[in-house]
Amino acid sequence: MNILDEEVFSVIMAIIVISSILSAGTIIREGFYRDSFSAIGLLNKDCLLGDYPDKALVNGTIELCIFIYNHEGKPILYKVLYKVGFNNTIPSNTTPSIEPIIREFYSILNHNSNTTFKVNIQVNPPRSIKDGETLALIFELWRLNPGNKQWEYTGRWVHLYIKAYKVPLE
Amino acid sequence: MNSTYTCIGLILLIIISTSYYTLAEDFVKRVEDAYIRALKLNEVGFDTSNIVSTLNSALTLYNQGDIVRASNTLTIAEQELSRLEASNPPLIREYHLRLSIALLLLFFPILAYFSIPLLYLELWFRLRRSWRIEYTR
Repeated sequence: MNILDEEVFSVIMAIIVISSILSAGTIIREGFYRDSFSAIGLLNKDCLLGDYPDKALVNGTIELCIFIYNHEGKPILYKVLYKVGFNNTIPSNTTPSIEPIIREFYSILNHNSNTTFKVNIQVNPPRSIKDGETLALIFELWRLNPGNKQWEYTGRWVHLYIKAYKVPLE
Repeated sequence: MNSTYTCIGLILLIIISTSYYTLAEDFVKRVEDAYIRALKLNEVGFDTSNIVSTLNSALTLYNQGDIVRASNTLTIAEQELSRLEASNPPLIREYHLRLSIALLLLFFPILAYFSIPLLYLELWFRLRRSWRIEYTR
């Protein structure tokens, strides 16, 4: 194959032009137009997916793990709010849960990094409940807006349904 | 007598719990300020990833309830922030580097257009360096 042949050389040049434009575009896009998002995940006490507890004692403690990921293109200061609610008081992607805050966990992450930490939480229902009633353990992800120094709800949350009992089960 | 001790105990408990919450509240405020300072330094081109990691270590200790150690770790991060704030920002920033690489990549086809035939011919002649040309009738 003679690469100085007009047709062969045109093909080689076309490949080089397309790949250089694509590479330059990717580099510029990564630097200036990042797809920014934050993520929160709920893991079991061994910090693994699945095998979550499905029942708990009222005012008892449960051990779980929280996973947070930052892909916002800059360092972000996060706050995870723990609340206990019911099926009708879980948050949406625009509004947080109306239930009172029980605990707060903080984390600060660089861009493209994540953290997983254990949490020991108490199952404190916001009102008196029936034995075996289903509760939602809610974890909301908030971030600090550096412009106005106010905490803002990211619209990300995780929740775990458990049945709460007043006396220990056999 | 017993009621006096109970009263003193209760007062002490209130003082301790109030000071604990004040300390915790102050700690969060300090972290918020440190985060904003780190973000500003990051925007002018400083690499603040180590400071952010130190701040995260402080927050992990805080989450575990160890406010004293958390506060000490936060102080280390604050000192590092002050040191960076007092120094000059780097001349080359990330987007300068990215733009330079992108421009180089865009110039690569022009370079290839002229250099590929030259390189090919150079290689062609080198590979045939030991060839002997013979004329035959």
